Amino acid sequence: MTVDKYLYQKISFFLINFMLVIGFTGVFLSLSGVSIFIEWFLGGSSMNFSLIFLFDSISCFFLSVVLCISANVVWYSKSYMATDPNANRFILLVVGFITSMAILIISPNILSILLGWDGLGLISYGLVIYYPSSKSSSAGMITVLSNRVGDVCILLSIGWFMSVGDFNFSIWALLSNTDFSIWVSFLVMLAAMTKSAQIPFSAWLPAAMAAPTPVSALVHSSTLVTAGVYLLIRFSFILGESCSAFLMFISIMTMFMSGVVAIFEYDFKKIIALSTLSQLGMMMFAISLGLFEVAFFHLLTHALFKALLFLCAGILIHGVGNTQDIRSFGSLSLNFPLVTVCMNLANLSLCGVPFLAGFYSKDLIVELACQYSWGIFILLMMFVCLSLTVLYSVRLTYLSFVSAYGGGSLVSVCETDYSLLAPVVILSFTSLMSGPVLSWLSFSCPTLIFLPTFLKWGALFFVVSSVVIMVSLQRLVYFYMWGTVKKFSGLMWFLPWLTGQWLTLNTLKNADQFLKIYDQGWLEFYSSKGISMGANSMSLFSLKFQHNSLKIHFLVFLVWLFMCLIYIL
Amino acid sequence: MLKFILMGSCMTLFFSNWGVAVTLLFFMAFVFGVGMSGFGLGLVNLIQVDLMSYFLSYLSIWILAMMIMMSFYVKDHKSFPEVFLGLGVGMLIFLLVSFGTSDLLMYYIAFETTLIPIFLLVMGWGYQPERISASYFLLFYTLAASLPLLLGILWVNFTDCSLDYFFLGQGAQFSNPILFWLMLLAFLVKLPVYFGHLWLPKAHVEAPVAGSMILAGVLLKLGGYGMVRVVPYIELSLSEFSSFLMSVSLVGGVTASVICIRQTDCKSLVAYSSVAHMALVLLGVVINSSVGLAGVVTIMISHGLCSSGLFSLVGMIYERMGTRSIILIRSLITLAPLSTLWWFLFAISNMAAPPSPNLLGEIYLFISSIGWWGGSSLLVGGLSFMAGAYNLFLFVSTQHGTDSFLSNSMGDCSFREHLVLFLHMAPFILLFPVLSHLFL
Repeated sequence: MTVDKYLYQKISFFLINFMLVIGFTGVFLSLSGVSIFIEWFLGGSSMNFSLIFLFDSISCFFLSVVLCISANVVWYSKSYMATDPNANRFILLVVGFITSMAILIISPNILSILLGWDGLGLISYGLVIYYPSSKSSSAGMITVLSNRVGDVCILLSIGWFMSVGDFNFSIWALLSNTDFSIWVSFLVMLAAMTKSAQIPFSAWLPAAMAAPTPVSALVHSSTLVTAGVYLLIRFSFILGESCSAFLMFISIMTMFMSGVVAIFEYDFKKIIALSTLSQLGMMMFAISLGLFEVAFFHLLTHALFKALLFLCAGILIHGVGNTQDIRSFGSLSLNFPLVTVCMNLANLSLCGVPFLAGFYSKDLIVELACQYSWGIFILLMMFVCLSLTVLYSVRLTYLSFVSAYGGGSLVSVCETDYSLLAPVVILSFTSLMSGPVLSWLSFSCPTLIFLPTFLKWGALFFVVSSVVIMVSLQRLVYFYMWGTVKKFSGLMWFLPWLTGQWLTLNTLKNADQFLKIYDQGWLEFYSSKGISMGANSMSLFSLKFQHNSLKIHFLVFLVWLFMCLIYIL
Repeated sequence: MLKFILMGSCMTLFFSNWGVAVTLLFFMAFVFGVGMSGFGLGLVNLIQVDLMSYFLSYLSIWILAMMIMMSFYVKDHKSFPEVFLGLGVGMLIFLLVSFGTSDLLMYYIAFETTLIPIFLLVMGWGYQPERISASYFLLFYTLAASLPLLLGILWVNFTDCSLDYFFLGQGAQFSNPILFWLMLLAFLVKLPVYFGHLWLPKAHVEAPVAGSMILAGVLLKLGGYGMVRVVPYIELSLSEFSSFLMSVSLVGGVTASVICIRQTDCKSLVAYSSVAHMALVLLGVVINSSVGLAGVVTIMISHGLCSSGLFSLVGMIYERMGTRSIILIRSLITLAPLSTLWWFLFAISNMAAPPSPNLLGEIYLFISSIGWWGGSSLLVGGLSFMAGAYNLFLFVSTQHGTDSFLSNSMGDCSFREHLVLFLHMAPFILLFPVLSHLFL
């Protein structure tokens, strides 16, 4: 029980007001083309230490979207976490998280980016290990260690910043053609890959679903994972050709893998996590093509409808008795009409159905990508991933709302809690409006798309055909006959095992060897035990002279006599 | 500076009354903070103070006050509290002498003299029977390495006719490798560098809380401080051995951090993390750049406070549960939630999270080591990553989990313990802007 009865509402209200202020500032800044740069110079002769806040249209829009989502999530968690005894810790962690994200968004200075970045990683760790189960603690460990790789990359890139003399990332706009800028771009890209869970760091995002659902809505759908994409958008001028090619390859693999795994996944929140992963792959794909503004636009719209999806998922999970397995869902549209509407809105938006939010952003990426000449495999993979998105979204909708009910009987499937529903409705309004509104605000004039007919129809064709395929597959009972594929995808292409258990096992085995063989073995032998054994054996030898044996006495006398003779002669 | 040594000696009158002793120590720290006007590299009768020795002497007064506040159980169990306090104050006096002197021989004498109180502390007030061999290890490792230092000092005195820090490096520059190793070996073992670190885990595990706090907090920094003082004299042969020392410190640091994860004793884990942090210090000293030196001072100060805080936390658990084993201590978040915040803050500060000055020191050292060789970024990055791994392993093993059936009565931190932890954390955070101005 919280101390103040209206604490959550107060926090939510503050965040909404802050969002409105920042949102209007963002609109003003984007229409007038002005950026506000506030700097406190903190001294420094060879290095320029200054605390800088950068308010331009990108950061204001991102901050307002983050604040909107967090206001709704805080309001939602008022009733979601009402029965939890540690709710105080929860709300403090969430507020700390929002603060770290705000610091990350408004700072152009790599040191304050590191402050926000580290804060994000550690506070999300605190939120993932919120429940006291061993699943949470292993999930938290893999989350924070994957994020830590990114932290180390940013720390190393600070070394490079030092060598050019300024801690702002805009310095690299002047230096992007030097031969050492490849290191900074590689390190920053690696950091973004860890935060946004690209391959090979993808294992933490589905595992982090061990956190409470409001945390998943805020952290793992819209803010933490998009921090990597945001960093790459800020560093856009330094991503050279080789880094972009590498990033394209990684992002397409991530999109494909997460799409395939999501089709075979049975945990509700994990499916949504994998869909987040595939959309992150789409954003990284856009960045690797050089479409930074479009990637940012997709980031914003995706954040809104993914948070909506998670909140609806939370209501459904609460409704069927806290189980997350979709085999116990089904026919819930009869009991949750409003949630069904909002969740359908979010899912259709995700699929890219015309004139919803996802259509504006995702379809723009697809059409712009078709205009590039990266090769037919890339195009084909992009369309395949598009259809995979539709396949798993339709499967999710079908299994939760259409198919027969598979859960227990003693549950309370109803939606009467306004504190849970109001955020859902508000977010569905914003995700409905955000598509056109943000595109009118971000893009001053529409882009010219010049495509052949079959490519133009391509996206829509893939969407419609995937809907048809999945609905018909769900009607067939024996869909899941592909045992090997199912096992492979069910274990997420062995990525959690490879980057989690196998790596940990080998590291711990090697560490054990270092400890037992070197530290407690040879090092002790050569230093302490060696010296004590040496001293022991030497004193044992000299003990032999003290046995008072007549033979030794005579021998010593003879040796002495011999040496005197040699000396005389 | 002399007045503080005098103040310390006068505290011998207050050994039976611990409250007065702690108050006097805080008063001394206050006067130290405000009353040192115009210190400089003077030649006045063997006393000099510059910024690094000022910070380190302040740290030793502060840690001694914390250490006495943590050790009230000695007074409660009546196990020779006056002798305990006397050993602590004696250690403080000789630490102030060692940090405040400008003569190398005086530094050596004080360096050796501080071994006696810690030896007696470990042997007298330690917890297990293994403390006898552990205290011998501590004593003989350090002695065996520092007797050659005496030879080196006498050699320097013979050639240069003076041992004052002011003259080191001004007179004849020596490029003799023997002299290099004679001077440096003692500090390397004290620091401790990886191959000479075997005394440290044993000493920490067997030491009482106070002994661990002063050992990790200040005594290890004697090694780093000595190296910084001696390096101007042996700079010519430093370039000859720098790649060897750098590789030992880099690989040794990574190895020590990797070993940390396999520890089952909380104190041993924090001890090995000290080895890893001090490897970074050696890195900064050997590179001999101004960024490196700033990193050395920053890490020494921040590691002193952070490590001492972690040892206090482990000591609190030991007082309550009687064990230091990671396997047995579990779910402290439900038993003592207020201490969980302190555990989290100290664990993340130890792994160099902002806004701790540990991050600042690591950044400075990353900059200097990457400037020396680009590939060292893999090793220092690995060190930083493993630091995250073992610190969070310590945190999650002790705090997280379902209820442990082994804890019958476990109280949360008392006011005194909260005060100790707060007084570790507050200077830690407040020093961040101060220490960032070391290199500008």
